Amino acid sequence: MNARLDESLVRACQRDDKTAYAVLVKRHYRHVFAMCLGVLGNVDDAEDIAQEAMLKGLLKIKKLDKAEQFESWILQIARNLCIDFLRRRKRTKALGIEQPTQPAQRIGKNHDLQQAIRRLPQELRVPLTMYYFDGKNAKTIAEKLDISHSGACQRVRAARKRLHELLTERENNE
Amino acid sequence: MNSICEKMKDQIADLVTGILPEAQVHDLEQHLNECAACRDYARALKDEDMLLTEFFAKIDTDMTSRQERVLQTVNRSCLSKQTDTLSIRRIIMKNPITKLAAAAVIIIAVLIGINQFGGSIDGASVAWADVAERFESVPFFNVTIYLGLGPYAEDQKMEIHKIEIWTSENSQTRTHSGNEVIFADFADGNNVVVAFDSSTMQPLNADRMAKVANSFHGFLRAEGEFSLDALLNGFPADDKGITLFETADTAASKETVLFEVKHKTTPTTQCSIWALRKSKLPIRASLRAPQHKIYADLLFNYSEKKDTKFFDPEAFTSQQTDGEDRQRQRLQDENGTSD
Repeated sequence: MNARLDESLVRACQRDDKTAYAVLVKRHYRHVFAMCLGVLGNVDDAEDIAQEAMLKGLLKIKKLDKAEQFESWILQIARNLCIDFLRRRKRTKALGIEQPTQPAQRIGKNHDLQQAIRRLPQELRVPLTMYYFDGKNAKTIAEKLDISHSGACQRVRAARKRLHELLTERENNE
Repeated sequence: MNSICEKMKDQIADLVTGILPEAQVHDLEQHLNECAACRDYARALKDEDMLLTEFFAKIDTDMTSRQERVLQTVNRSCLSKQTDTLSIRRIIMKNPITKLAAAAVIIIAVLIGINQFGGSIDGASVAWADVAERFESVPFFNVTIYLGLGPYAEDQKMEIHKIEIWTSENSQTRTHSGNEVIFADFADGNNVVVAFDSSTMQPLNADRMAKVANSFHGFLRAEGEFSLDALLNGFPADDKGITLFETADTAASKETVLFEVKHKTTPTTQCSIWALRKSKLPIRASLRAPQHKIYADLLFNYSEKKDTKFFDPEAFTSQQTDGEDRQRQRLQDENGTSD
């Protein structure tokens, strides 16, 4: 049903109905943001790239043939933009022109948690972020990441175990 | 924590995360009752789960404003895209129906304008005011418009479109333009516009049609008289300055009178209107607006009264379905088959 609604909205966009794209943004922005947050591990960067993804979607929507697959299409755009962003950042780092990072400060548990989440490998951070953003529903993650339900459960479990290790490791080092 | 406990870690993580299968919950709880190390591990994961939930909920609180910013950027992008690539005229010319609206608005604005300043038009014993008044009083009519548009480039030819509009006594219209059939109903304060592709019977975007249908609402004498504002609404501002008209000799023939109209600010916009001398009804209008690359001929008909079903979109769609069923039945009968 959702895919059918997306399909009709995409078709309306392709007929230059701009209000339809606003509805698509309302329906999917949250997931796009969660994907970006998962890949990038930073709220500000995720916000920028999620916005860029939605704009890129608007520019390219006329080329989308499988209108019912809008969600996976826009998530793929977001993922690609995140990867480009990380590549750019890596190049900047390699050139030594990145701003010096602030020394880590212990602000509270949230800060520890944020640092630990950032240290998770991307393949675990993305499903973990989406899991907590999507009302803890492994089935939804499986659909959005195009993996099996058991695969989604396995990644969330691995993410939780690794996160615990990272948090415990930090505590033991202090 | 022994080797069994190491294996239990997966289950504890699943339990805390809420993805452990129901069948395994009992055994795990039994183990947790017996093993303090695993209980600590489960408690730690539960605490972390709460932290994670709070952490993401905090990010989530800004989601509405974040989304709003994206929507504003998207809207700005749409707007700049439009102004960058299309002038207002080109937006109007992009769609045959809006082209029709543009043409009709010019024509009707001219007609109404003449009415408003009708005192200056006179000839052959028929005054324009009489013609305009008579036109306002007709309960229904049908107009066929031959609309010429362009050329917009040297290598292009003028596009010719045929559009037909029927109006009813009950503030309803039905418009045919190419494959598009548009029904508009303004009766009793309604503002309902539906549109179909006549070949596929698929509904079309009615929002786009609504603005156009509103332009035609002026035809319908909603308040007992034409609404100049409604007709001019949505037309580029530089075309709202129709204030003065000139006329030539109105005697066209024994049966008809002719009114020639010029636009004050853009004199190249001209309109000729033929009316019947006796009934004082306009029967033809011809518009030339070269600055908009619009050329239109309107032929009015007052004799064809359509029944209410003709203006009813439901009757239209069911009629099409019935027609298809009958055709299918006829083919089956001819082939000697039946369901």
